[in-house]
Amino acid sequence: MILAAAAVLAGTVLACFLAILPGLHIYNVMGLAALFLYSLHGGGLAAMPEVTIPFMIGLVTGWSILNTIPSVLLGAPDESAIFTVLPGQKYLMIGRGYEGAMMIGAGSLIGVFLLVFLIGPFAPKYLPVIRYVLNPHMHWILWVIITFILMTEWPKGGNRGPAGWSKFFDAWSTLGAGLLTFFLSGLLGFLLLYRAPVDIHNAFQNIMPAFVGLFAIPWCLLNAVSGTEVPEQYVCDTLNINGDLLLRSGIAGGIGGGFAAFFPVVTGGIGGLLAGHATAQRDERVFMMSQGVSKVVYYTGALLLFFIPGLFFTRGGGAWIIKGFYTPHTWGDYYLALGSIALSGAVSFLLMSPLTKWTLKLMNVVDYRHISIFSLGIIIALVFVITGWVGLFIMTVATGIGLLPVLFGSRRLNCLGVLLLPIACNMSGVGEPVAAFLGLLK
Amino acid sequence: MILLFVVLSSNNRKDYPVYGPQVKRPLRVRVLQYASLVLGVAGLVLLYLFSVNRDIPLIRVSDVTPTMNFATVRMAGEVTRDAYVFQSGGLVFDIKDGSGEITVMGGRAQAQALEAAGKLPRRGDRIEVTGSLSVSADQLTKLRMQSADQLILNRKRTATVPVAENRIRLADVTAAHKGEQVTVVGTLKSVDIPGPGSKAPYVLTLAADGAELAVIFWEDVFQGLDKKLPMPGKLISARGRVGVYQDAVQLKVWEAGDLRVMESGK
Repeated sequence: MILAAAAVLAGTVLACFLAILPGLHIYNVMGLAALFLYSLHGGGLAAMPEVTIPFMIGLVTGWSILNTIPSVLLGAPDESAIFTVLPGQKYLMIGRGYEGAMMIGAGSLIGVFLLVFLIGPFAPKYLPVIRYVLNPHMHWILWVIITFILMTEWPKGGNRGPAGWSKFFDAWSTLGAGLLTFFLSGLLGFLLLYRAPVDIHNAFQNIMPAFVGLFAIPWCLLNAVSGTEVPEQYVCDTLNINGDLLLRSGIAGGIGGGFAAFFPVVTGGIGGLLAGHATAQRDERVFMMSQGVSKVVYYTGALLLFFIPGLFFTRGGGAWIIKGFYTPHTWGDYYLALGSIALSGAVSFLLMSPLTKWTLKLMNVVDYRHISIFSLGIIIALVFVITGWVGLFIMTVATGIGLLPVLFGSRRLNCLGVLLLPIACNMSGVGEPVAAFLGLLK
Repeated sequence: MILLFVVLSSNNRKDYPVYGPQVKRPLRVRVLQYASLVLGVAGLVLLYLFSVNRDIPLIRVSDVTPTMNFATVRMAGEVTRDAYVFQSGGLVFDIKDGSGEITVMGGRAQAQALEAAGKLPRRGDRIEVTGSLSVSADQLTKLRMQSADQLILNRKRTATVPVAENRIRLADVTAAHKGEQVTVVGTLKSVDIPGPGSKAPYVLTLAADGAELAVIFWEDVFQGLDKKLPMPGKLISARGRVGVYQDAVQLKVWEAGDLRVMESGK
């Protein structure tokens, strides 16, 4: 037990430092850790699951809570935290970055409470039933989500000026770029799913360079060239929230994150978007906190599904990575996972305040553009180490696609077409004809 | 870097001081945005060409490692378990390649395509199949087929010459031979095919010396014949076990290789 607790703490502490680096995704680090475990295995050594599992859970839980810090202070979200950037940046630009980060952190804490005290006790009984009921309907639900994502993109131009083609094109440039981003990402996804160019010995990470290129690199590049000066930041002892706001954000974020965790290829960002519309929460604080809830429920909840007896659902990159070296069987595994989430969640939130203050101090000493460049270097090195030159090639192409929404002002969520389109096609039984049409089955 | 410059310069105002000589027609940022779009698409096309022009690696079962999860590979070997089509529509069979054994799985589309083409693998067949590896700890490693077209099948060779010692005249087959393995030769008179979903057998009625005999077999033999039945009028050699059903004598054939078209009967 002490060993497991120590492993959770080690994972959480490591996640602290990883979370500060903008753009670095925890699944990339887990992939590297998995490679290390496989090499141990190859050398005749084996790490105990009582150590590796809590460590991995500590990494995911800690990161899903603490990566709020760079998303607010450095404007570098992962794909599930895209929506927190704008309100978070507002807080940063009025000198209240600390409060913004802590409010989202409070939401994350609510998310951990939901997982441990609400979802945890009931999931083994009800989730297998829900899965049985929903399984035949997953494909059309996924298409509805795709339609919703594409239809809720709104035109950002074409409001003024004389009627004509130029006004038409102005209005459609954003929408068109959004559709094109989704379509190109989807094509890239088909390519990676059916004829992944990554060396087969590292195929378990073949989608990673694409995700890095679509999401992480554009943000790091933008941060690196951004001319924005961050104003002086204030640190306060109180947060301008109450129980009512926490409850509302918990409901909205819990629904969004839970939906994202349960449905294949739906990420926390999409879940947050759906929940935001479904619950129509207008208060910016509720919105920010609900994104914190959604993020934790999505990342950590998806991992928890893997350990639920009777379900053992593989959802999210973390579960897929762990599945390569360990398959849970017993209630003991489930309690270990729940306990690890609770412990890591508690430690992570306790670290949230000092880490945010430390990051603010760091930003005073080191230009945050330099932090982004440093992080960019680490991410590129990680892609190279795991997937080699081919991975860098994929990453570069994905970066080209990932920059489209940035350049044309459309939604970055469209980049998720990389998974949504091929998986939705596969689940509907049309993946093979599409792949054959694209010449990927030759 | 051009792209980054575009981002930086997109907030230019009209009164922004010009640095250097003013050009006649300043380049619109939008043009560079479209240029970046072309670049992104070109990159995707190159990646596509790179991917489809690479050979899918042929690996052995013993080569599979956990890091190969999701890898698209080819595997070749001998089928050790007949393809089984689930009620849900998917199919499964096993192959071995000398270094180990692996389960190959396919979805409804692959199962239907293989069934329609009469290519459902059977024990002893040699196949080469392309698919995506599914590797997980404590669970069976699987190869998920991507397409039925990516399965190359070489049917197991079966005995083509009936065993001579059991050969008897068709007219001599009576209920007294029940349970015996015999070989008969006759002209195919008619073919009865079971309806969709029916569990009834296929019936070939052979005639010789004024007598008739029903030769019956089921779906697996039909699959073994690549779903091709001989035309009436052909001379057929059939080996099987004599049975009696509703007072009628019949010959039950269990292997596709036991049915053979010998020559034209007419």
